[in-house]
Amino acid sequence: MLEDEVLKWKFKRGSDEALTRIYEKYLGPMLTLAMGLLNNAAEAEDVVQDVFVSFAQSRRTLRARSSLSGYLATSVVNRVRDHKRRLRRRATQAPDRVERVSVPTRPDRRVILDEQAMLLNDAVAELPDEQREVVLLRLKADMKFRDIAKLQETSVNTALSRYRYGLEKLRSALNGEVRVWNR
Amino acid sequence: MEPIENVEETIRKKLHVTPDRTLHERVLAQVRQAYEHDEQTTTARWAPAVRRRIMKKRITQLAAAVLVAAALALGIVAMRTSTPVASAADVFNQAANAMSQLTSFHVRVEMRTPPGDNFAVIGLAYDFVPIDFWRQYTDTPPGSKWRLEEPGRVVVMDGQRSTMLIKYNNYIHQVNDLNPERYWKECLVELEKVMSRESEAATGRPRGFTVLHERGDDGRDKIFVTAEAQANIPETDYLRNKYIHYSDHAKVYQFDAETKLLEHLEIYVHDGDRDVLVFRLVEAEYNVELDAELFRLEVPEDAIYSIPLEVLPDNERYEAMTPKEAATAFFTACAEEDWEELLKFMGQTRISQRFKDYLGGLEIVEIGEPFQSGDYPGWFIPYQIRLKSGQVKQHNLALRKDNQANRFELDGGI
Repeated sequence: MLEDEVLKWKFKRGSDEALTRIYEKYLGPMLTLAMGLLNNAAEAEDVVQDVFVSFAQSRRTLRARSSLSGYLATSVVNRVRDHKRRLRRRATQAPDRVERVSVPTRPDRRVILDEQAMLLNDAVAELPDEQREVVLLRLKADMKFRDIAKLQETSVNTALSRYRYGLEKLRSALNGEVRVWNR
Repeated sequence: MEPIENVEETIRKKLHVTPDRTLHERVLAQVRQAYEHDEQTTTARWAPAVRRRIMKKRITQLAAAVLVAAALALGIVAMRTSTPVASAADVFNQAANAMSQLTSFHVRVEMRTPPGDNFAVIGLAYDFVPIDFWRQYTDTPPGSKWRLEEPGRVVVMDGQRSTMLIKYNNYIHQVNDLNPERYWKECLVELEKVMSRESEAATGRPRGFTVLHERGDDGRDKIFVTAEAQANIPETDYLRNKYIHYSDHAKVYQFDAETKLLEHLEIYVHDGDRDVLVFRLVEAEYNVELDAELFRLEVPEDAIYSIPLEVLPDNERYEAMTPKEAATAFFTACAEEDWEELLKFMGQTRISQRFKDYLGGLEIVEIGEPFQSGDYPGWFIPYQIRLKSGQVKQHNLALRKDNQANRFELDGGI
């Protein structure tokens, strides 16, 4: 956490080196989060690019109390939600086009998932949106339940329930599927 | 078929998406472009507003320029926040007050240092070594007892004097100086003084400090203070990055907002384009009961004691030596296993067998040109020797002359 404090502070002071370090540190985790939420490599790339471009312009508005990880993860979640809303609107207007877009694509050459990660990502993708968000934000962005609940505009107890239900479903799905790499 | 026992750990550790180089570079290019564009447009947006308000009078132009520079340096965000925060100097002052009330404390830090060398020595490539410091304040003079310990050496101040034991050769150094900063000035042995010095620095150089408030994982409010400091020696200097104060570095302090006590400290050395974590406070306990045994040190029976160099009958010959001649004489004594001669360069009661086995019979390959570095009062003499084992060693011998005999004495570099 303190390392992030230094990076954030240097970035706010105008250090492009700190910006690069933040990007290098969090590109992978944010891509993982976006892939988990979208299960679509091309869309995840777009979301993550938007998030970092926006972050690069936030030097003067980034709140001193924000955690870097939480800030970026929240940005990913908000953009994913926006993206899904746009898809739903398009679905209403032109269902045949959206059908083509919304089919999850396997990761292409630009993002790399090993076999284990693919199975896990597929299992996470089967969760309802709210549960998926809580599980990923908690486990991949280390966000506190209090902050996740705030992001989901719900109570901490609800966020915790979603987390527990999500884990139960994952346990069930993975124990029926993930065998080889867990031996 | 084996079930997954811990889904959380599995997701944490196994679910990773890695960008390939193309994606990494493409997005990074976009990010940099956005950053540069934002920097240019924001500067343009801010500058006219400042001019309109301030630069109507020519006499204020200089002051305005200074203010703009200061605002940019301090970070404009801090000025936009609605919650007023204490200055770094205030935070350190409050911390100093809190720490002046302590009855005892124990800190454990981890630092990149050789495990048996001077406590203050750092090296960016060294592994982290634990260092502990215990201090018990007392009502009677001198006011405290303390113990400072790393794997290879320990110093105990029992209320009368401080005794240092270098463990690998049972070397004992005793002095009447009771101040722990003699051994480790920059770190956390004099908490109140450290905080007071930082407060003074923050008062005189506020641009180097930033204060942040956050809620901690324990639900309590925290105050973070970051402090930037520049090395006071050139980049090419030998001692650069070998001590914290000889490095460009950032310190990040974490205080409990209510008690004002220090909870964490991390120190990063800026080295080229990287920041290297060299120091971290991993444990801080305040007003705890400390075992009285901590402040006693059992001296080994076969200990070697440090003693002041005595003036020799032929002292003038040694006084006249240049640093290079002294280094040559030192290694020649080792080569010839003339330990009596060697002791003339070492203020101690005898030479350890370990030292004799290591350096006895060596061959001098080269003695280089002496140089000075930082504010070290002695000289460094580059040398290359071949040990009996066949190993070739290359290092800088540290010799200093500020002793009562006014001749060169070994101070390190072996």
